[in-house]
Amino acid sequence: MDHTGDLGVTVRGRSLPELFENAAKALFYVITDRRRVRRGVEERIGLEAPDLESLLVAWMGELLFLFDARGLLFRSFKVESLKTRSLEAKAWGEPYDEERHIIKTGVKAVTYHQIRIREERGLWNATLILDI
Amino acid sequence: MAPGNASIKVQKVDQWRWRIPREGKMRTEGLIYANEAMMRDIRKDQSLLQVANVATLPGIVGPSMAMPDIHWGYGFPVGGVAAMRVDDGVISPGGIGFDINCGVRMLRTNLTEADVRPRVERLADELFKNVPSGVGAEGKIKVSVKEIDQILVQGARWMVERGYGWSSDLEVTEEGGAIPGADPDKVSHHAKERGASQLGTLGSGNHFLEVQAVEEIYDPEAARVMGIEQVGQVTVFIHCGSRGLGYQVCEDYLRVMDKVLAKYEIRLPDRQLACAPFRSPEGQDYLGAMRGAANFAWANRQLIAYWTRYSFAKVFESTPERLGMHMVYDVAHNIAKVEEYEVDGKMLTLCVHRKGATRAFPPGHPAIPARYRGIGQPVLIPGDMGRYSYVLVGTEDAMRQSWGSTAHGAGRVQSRTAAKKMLKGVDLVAELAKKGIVVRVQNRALLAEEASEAYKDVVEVVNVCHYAGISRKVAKLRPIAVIKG
Repeated sequence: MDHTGDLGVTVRGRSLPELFENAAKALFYVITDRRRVRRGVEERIGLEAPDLESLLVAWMGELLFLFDARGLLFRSFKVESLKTRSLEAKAWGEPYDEERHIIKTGVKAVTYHQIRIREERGLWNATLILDI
Repeated sequence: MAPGNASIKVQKVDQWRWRIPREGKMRTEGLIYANEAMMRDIRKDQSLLQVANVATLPGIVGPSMAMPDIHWGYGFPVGGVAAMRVDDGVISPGGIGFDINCGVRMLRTNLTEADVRPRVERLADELFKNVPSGVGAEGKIKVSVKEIDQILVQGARWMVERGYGWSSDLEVTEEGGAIPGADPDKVSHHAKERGASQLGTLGSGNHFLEVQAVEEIYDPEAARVMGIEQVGQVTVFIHCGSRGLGYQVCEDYLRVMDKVLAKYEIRLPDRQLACAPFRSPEGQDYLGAMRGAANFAWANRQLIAYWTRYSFAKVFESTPERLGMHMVYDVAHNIAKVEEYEVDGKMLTLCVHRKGATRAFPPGHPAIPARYRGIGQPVLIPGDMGRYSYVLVGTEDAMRQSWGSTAHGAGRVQSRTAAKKMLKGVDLVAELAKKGIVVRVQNRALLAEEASEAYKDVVEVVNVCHYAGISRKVAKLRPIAVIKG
C-alpha cells in the first residue's frame, strides 16, 4: 500500500492479543532486522484508550516512544491482558547498537488512517499506516 | 472509506489557481495553487479530498487552501493553509503536522564555490561529524528535564545565552526564535524524554544540511539586503524540526482531542482531523504545547547553526565572524499562528494553520525584522536532495490571497517504497557526485527514498508561487554538499 511518505502494513492474528503482538513485530520488522535483536531487556507496558483502534495506535505509539527516547529495539512481545479499553503487555529487546543493528526505515508515527480492526472467518486483521 | 480524488470537482480559476466548489458539508470552497501539469499529478493521491475535508471544519474563514507542493498528509494535506476564527473555530494538530516547526534556517558566507571546492570533502566530513543525523542519533549536548522546560519557553534564546550563536541571530528568526505563550506543563514527560537526547541533531527522512552556491540572482537589491551578493557565493540551508518532542506532542494531543469530539459535538469526515475549539481547555493546552515544541525546534536549529559555523571555521582555519557567516533568516513551515486580518471591513483574529507552508509577509509588515521591511520577509524553500533551493520574499498579494502564506518545498510525488524500487541498483551517492554534489548520509539504504525523482520539481512549485503572486523569487541556490540522516 503506497502513500507518499507513508507505509501501509496489514497484520493478522488468530486472536486479538496475537494481532497486537503481530502489529508490534511488524513495526520492528519495518524499523530493523529483528533477528539481530537480543532479548536482554524486558519492558512492561500498560495502556488505556477509548476504543480498540485507539488502543492499537497507543500500543504502537508507546513502542515507538521506547525506541525513540530510550533507543530500545524489541524482538518479541506478549500481550497478557487485552480488553476493549486497556492493555497489559511485555516486550523483550535491547538497546540499539550501531555495530550490530541495522536501521531499515525510520518510523515517525502510527496514524489512524484507514485503521480497521476486523474479524473475518476466525482471523483478526488490521491495517496500519506508518508515517515514515 | 471516502471516495478518491476522482469524484472531487475542480474548476480552473486561472493558470495558477484551481477551485473546489463548496458542496455537501464543506463550509467554504477549496483553493489549490498549481499549474495544469501539476494538477494531473495531484489528482493521483487523496490530497484534493483532504482539501475538501478541511473545508468542513468549524470556524474556517476564507478557502481551504493548498500550495503547489501539495501532497497527502495526516488529515490536512501537506501544503495546506487554513484559518479558523479563534472565537468559534477549532485548532487541529493535523493542520500543523507531526514535526512541529519543521523549518529552514539560512546562513550566508563570504566564501565562493572556488574557495570551498578544494576542501569540500573535509567540510562535508566535519559537518557530518558535528551535526549528528539519522535514526538513533544523539545530540552532543544533553539537557535535563528542567532545562527542557526552559528551552520550551526560551527557544533559540536559551542557546544564544549559553554561547551557541550570536544575539543578532534572534533578530532574523521568525518570532525572534521563541514564540510567546508556550506552556511546558502541557508538554508530556514522554515528549521531553524524547527531546532531551536529540538537541543538535538533524533527524532523518527529508531533513538535511546543505552547503550551496548561489546559481542565479533574480532581485539583486533584495538579495543584497539579505547578504547575498554574487553568483557563486556559498550559503547554507539547515532543514529540520522539533524531532521526537514535536512528534510526541502531536500524538498526545491527537489522542486527547479524539476523545473530546463528542463533547464539543464536532463531527469529522476523517478521524485524523481531530480538533478542539480554539478556546476550549484542550485547544489551549495544545496551543501551549505546540508553541513549546516550536521553540524547541528553534533552539535545535540555533544549535545546529552554531556547529555549522564551527565546522566551517575549522576547515577554513578562520572564525565564523571573519567568514561573514551571518544568518539570513529562519522560517517555520509546520505551525499555527494567531494573526489578525481585515475581512469584509472587520478585523478578525484567526488561528492560521500552515502545514508544509511558509509564512510570507510583505514589505512594511511590523512582524518582520526592520532590516527586511523594505523588501519583505525572506522565504526559504528547499528543493530535494539533488536540485535547487530558492530564496524568495513575501508579498502584499500573499496577505490578500493566502493569509500571507506560500509553499515550503518540493513535495513528494512518489512513495518511499516506489522510489526505492525505481532506484534499485542505482548508486545515488555516485550519481550525485557526478553532478558535483558531495553527500554524507547516515543510512545509504534510505537515500533512494529521498531521490529527486521522488519529488515534484521545486522549480515548478516556486514558479507557481511567483506567478500567482504569493511570493517573489530573489535567488536560486545549487547544492554543493548535503548532510543527511
